[in-house]
Amino acid sequence: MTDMTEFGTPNFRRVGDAAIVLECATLGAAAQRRLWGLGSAARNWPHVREAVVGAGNLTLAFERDRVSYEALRDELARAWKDASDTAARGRTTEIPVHYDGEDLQTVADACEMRSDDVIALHAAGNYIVAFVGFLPGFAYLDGLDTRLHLPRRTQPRTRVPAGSVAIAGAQSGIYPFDSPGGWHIIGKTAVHMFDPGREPAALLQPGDAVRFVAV
Amino acid sequence: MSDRAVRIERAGLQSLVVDHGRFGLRHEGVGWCGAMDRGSYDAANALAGNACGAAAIEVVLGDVVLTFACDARFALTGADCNAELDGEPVRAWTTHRVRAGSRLMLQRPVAWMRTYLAIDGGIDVPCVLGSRTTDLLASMGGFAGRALRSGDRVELGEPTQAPLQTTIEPPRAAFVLRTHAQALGDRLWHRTWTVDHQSNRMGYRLRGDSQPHDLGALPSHAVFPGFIQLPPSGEPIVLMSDAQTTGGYPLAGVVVDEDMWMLAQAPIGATIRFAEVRR
Repeated sequence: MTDMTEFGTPNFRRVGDAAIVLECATLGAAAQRRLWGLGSAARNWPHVREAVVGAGNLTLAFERDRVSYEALRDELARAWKDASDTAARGRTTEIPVHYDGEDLQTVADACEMRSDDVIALHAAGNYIVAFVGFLPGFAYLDGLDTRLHLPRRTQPRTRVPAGSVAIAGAQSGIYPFDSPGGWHIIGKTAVHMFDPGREPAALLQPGDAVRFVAV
Repeated sequence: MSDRAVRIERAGLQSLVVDHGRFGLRHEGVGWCGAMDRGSYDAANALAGNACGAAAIEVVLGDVVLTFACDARFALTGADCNAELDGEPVRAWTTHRVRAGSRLMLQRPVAWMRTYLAIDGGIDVPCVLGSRTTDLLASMGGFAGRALRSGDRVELGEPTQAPLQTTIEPPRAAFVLRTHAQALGDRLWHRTWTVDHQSNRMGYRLRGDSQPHDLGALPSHAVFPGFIQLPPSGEPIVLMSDAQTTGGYPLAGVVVDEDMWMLAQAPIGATIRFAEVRR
């Protein structure tokens, strides 16, 4: 059992009249692992409609006529103390990538390296799914080499093709569907990130390890 | 193949099979989707004699023609499209009976955006992840994961019992949205906003007396329909039924759930206001 002081007391915030946000005092891998466990637990609490983990935060959407903000806040504070910070399932998924993305050269220029170096650095990383969001099955992957950290594109694209492997800020991700997007596209994969016939439907779950393999 | 079906002759701008939505999966990135104006959708089902939550068709700005392949009972609610059945006017918000072979025509509505067509037995499409509603982002649910097209044959469920009520008084849309303030709430009040043409089922973009901000992005966090995001341009985006599950823009407010239907019915160019309310 980890000492509570290591993480500090989380901050609670009300959003609208039917959502509560828990924000970690300190960000980091261990705090994020606690959020996964807390999210999975809270999803089964009565009158909780959704429990969504973000970057260092957890939001519950609740039935406001059946449970109060204060009751959920107290419940979350209690559960946070007891939450485990070990990953739920330590699965590793390999994603084969064709590194021929539209932005590969732009990224190489911005990072002052050759495009081959961008590929080598991206494919060498050990990534962890921090959370899933934005689109069905879109996994936000921590673990991008700091030499590849770049702000998002100033002009987002109106259509990024499904399967695009992209980077932005300190993260990497794979677009599961055609969608608008502002990340830098460095490659593409044929892997289906989301399949409603699968259980769970999203290929990548929080805590999963991911490796990219150049093909 | 059952003969209980309708055939789409003209599909209109965006006609979707909808129900209440797909819940409990936002942590996998799956949006709620579902009827944009839930009150009108519920009323249509009630008038058709359907159970609450039966799948219906949501039509944007009318201009739809369809033929019934079977005897049926139906109701139209939401935006009034001056519908005609075999050339005869049919009242909205009222139960109607129809014979096989009849042709229903919806014209462009004078006010409002979305019309709901419920037919007894409901639209019979497979349930995907707990819902029959269309998710356009993931191309799942509804009719083959897409909007209806001319030539589509849409199957219906088994006939239901007669409705308890055969007419419902339509609500009035005031286009004043009760809203809970968030950090940047002061930028919303005491001014009028216009619904921009870049509005869709994911979000409504609003134009008006806005000020740019340089607060940057917040750490990614969950967002829900009704949340009002403030991108750096300062022009608010109200998230709608198909909203993405996470976002990073600062929040200005959250529209009270009961008022979201009015925004769903506000046409491009409509003027809306936000009214701050306490919890």
